[in-house]
Amino acid sequence: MSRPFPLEILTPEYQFFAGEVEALTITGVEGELTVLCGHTPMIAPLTVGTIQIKQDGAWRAAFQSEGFLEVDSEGAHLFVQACEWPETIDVRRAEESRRKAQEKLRQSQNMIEYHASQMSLARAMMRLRITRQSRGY
Amino acid sequence: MQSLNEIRHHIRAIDQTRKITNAMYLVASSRMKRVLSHVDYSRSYFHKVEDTLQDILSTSAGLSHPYLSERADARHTYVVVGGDKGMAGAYNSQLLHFAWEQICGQDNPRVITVGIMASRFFRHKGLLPEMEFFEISQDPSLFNARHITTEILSLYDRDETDRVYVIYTSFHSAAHYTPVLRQLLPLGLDAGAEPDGHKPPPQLLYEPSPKAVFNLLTPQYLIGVLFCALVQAYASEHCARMNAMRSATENADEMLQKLQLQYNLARQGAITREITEIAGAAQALGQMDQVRPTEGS
Repeated sequence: MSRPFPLEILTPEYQFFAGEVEALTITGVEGELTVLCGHTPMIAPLTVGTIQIKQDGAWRAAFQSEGFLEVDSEGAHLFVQACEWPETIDVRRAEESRRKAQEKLRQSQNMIEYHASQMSLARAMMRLRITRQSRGY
Repeated sequence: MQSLNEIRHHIRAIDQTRKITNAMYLVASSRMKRVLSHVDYSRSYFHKVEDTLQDILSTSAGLSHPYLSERADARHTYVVVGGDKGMAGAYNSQLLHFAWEQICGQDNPRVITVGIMASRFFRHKGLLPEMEFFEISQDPSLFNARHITTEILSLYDRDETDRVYVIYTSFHSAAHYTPVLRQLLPLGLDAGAEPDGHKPPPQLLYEPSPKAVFNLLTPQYLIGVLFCALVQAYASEHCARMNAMRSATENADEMLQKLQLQYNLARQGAITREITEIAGAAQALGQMDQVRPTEGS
């Protein structure tokens, strides 16, 4: 049983989460990363993926967009551009943006456009995957 | 003195205008309240990103990034964030005149406009905007900020500009908002500067490496600056509109009161006149009746 530590998740639009957690798993640029209490001070950028939070022995997963994680002696702070619980994800909108991104990816003219569409495709796919997982199919 | 009908017509017209200004006031105030929380969170979020970038710069020597170095030439690009609509008091004109003052002295400036009012202004001045974004100033979302940033970066990467500035209205409080100029590119971070106020812990671990973190955070920082600008411009616009519409509604109320008084006076005058006429006519008739019998006899 690990000791809990304070975690705060902030997006530019709202505070997504604040409270004590036992463990935190995020998707970093080089793979998944788990933070427990007493982790050494660290800064790690995040990519599109899932955030998993362990609270009272139970794991919860949420969608995460790009951002970064900061761990200091007081706890962990997550700064992400977008963060959503599976039940608040708009599946229709995600499906729509997936279609748009795929279409744009086909038509992209330069590398910048290509990467931008790739990122929005990744975001849409990840949103859809998280909703599917949470509904158990 | 206006006639009764004229005054009645006038009152009805002002009443209708008052309804519109009042509705616009309510809409603006509800929109402003909704976006106010965004202002605070976006500010704290992006200060954090800025601090982190600054920390990396001051702790790790020899870091280089294409967006850090100053370019020799001085081809300036200005991103001007204005509104899509007027009816917001001096909001648009204040911002655009400030922007014009900044831009005027430069040779060959490029302008990227956000909002219909801004693009109309520069077209009128004979400066064709490089890019125009519409409907974004009504919907300050991260998605839109990302979209604009991608366009600006591609302009910068193609080496078509050397400096990019954002001009927007900075929102301090409901009564205080001022147009500001902020440098976007190259990043206005100084490698030698000490981070203000706080010291990063020396054993801070950058995963996977300081350079990688810096590279990944830079676009996020730029998106952040633009998002901040969009949100603050939106809040300021609605605040300005709220104040303008409130005073318009108050003026309408005052005018209605005056007109109502005038209307009552005119009506009273008309009634008095009618009574006098009737009374005069009755008197004349009575005199005729008195005269008639003497004629017959």
